[in-house]
Amino acid sequence: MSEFKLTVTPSPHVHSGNSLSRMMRDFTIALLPATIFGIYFFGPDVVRSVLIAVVSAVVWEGLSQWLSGRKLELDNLHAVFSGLLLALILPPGLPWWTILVGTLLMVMLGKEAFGGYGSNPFNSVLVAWVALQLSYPDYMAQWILPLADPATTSSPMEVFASQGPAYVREYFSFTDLFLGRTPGFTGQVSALMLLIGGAYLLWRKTINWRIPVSYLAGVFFFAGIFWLLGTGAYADPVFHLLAGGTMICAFFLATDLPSSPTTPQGMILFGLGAGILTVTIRTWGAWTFGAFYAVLIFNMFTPFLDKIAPDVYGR
Amino acid sequence: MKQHKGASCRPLFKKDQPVQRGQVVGQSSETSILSPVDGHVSEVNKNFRHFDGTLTTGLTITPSEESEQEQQPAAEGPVMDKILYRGVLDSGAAQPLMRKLVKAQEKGVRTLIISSLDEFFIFGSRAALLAHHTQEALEGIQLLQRILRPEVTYLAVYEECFPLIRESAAIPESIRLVPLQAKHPQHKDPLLVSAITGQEYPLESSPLELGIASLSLETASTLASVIQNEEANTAKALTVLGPDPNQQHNVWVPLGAPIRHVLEHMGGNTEEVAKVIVGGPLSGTALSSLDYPVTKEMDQIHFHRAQDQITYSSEICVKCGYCVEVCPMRLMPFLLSGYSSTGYIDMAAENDIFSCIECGCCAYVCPVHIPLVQWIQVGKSRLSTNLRSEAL
Repeated sequence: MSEFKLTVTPSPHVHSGNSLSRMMRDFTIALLPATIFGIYFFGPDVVRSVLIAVVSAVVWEGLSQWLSGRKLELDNLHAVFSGLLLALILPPGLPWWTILVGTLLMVMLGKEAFGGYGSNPFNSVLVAWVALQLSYPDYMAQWILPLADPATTSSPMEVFASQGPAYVREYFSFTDLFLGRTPGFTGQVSALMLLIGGAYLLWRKTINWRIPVSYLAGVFFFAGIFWLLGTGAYADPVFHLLAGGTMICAFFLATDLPSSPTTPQGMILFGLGAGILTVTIRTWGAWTFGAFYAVLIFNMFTPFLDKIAPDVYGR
Repeated sequence: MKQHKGASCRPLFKKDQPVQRGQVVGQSSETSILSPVDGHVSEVNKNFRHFDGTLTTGLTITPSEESEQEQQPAAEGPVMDKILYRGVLDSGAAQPLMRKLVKAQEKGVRTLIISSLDEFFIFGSRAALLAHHTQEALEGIQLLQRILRPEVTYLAVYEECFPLIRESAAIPESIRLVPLQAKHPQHKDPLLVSAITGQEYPLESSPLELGIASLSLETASTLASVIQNEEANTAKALTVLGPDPNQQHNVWVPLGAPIRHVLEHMGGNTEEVAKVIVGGPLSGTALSSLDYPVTKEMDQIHFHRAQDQITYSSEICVKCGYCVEVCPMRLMPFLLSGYSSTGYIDMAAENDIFSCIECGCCAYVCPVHIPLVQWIQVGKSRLSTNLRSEAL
């Protein structure tokens, strides 16, 4: 026996240093441009709702893990990120208790009930969003209108649903949609800010390019086909890309790790499918915000898409 | 008595018997072990723990003070006998070279791949052999060409070393130099074969089925020194890193020397060392003692300090897909590990767990630090045990 001890562990003996908390920090940082734009555009009240959402998500998760006697996993920062993300897809000025209900459902129903982050089959943020949408449809459609002389009191997607694509162009230019000068959810309105965040995520390699790119391609080409076929009856594919939460879905909601596929082929199909379903729901469905529902529905396909494993070497 | 994959060698010496450098001290049907020094057998340990976990016999040879005249090694005659009696291994796979060559001759070899790639190091021991002992290395390759009669011979080098090798050596026409990207685990056979020839083979078979023989450059080099220069095969080219992570050395070490001596020779402080890894940092084995001897299986030794160590803690898999993305064998490591850890080993077998080469890429990138390779090893060993008991 030697005088000192050596450590013996299985390989590998090095690690990349990547961690879930690093990834969640990246996701949170990537949401900051959209958050700041929300505060600037909709007013300081947004700070209040973001704080309520983030703090309550952390409290609910801590409480749940403490009560069920599990290890506290708050250090992975998922509670912080998902709280912020939920706040950004709620209308600005939503009553404080609605946000509390939302984060409670997000943490308990969306995540903890399945055994914590990683085991949830659905995107927990979308679970909460849908629950709020179904429970409080009136609150969820009350927009703050920061522009002095608004042309309409509805969000672009609502105008599209109720009045048709021709009216949308009358009320909102593409520049408005791109920069975010429209009524809508706190962090969803500005495609530009979300693209900046998405670019950051891709640059940091936190997310894979496959899901966002195939999702955006699915939306663009499926909408494009109908736009070319029926003149005037269908909306411009660029409108579909810029409005109604397409961008936030592409980079932040569809890329949710546990509820999206893991294989390269699965990711592409997931993105394309969710993109096509987004346009389908918007054009022919009853729900206004098709993008969120489409992603949530495609979460259900994830286990099947994961069956499309890559061809193993030599087989 | 076991420095290779396969059955242990039988010790030919008893306690207190004198041995001479270059004498065969252990013998099996496929390979031999030669004494690295003059001296006497001071201890025979029947329960020596090999680092793969199995038991073998260990001989301790205490070198004598006065060095005697080196005896000419006994083996004369055909090349294969020399390969057998001087214990030449293929250093990449630690397989007895004779076994490999005999199989290769049976199957017929169209393509010969000689690899100078090391895990982790761009300029490791093999690249160093090629750069500094070029003549010997090339002679060895030509010997192998004469034995195997391939149509084409490729010499794989890392891109970074490519200009150096091309300028320094007059590579014969018959050897094609292939620059490869320094990307782990490029040095492993399946990936070498697919990178150079574009062909793939199921892992339970071998590249020989495709008419491809893949050997390490060090093998060629050893072969030349043993056959042409009549030297005893008693030293090993090693790359040593650490304990200071900026200290990399390519050295010749006599076989059987305790790793402690290697460390001391490098000027490393034993107190600093917290972990000793044989093989690369991604797929190597950690040793339990600094007194373990240097064997033919070792290509590189890493000394890690306490602050270099990392821990793998099993958390819930978040299905991020990073492991699927990086797996060079295009497996789904998180699934294999999950099946293995929950006992569904049949499912693991269905998902080609035996195609895993344990390169360590999946665990390296895992954001929740799951010890994926360890779980896959557990699954493989459980499956093998099941298969064995079914066969009985």
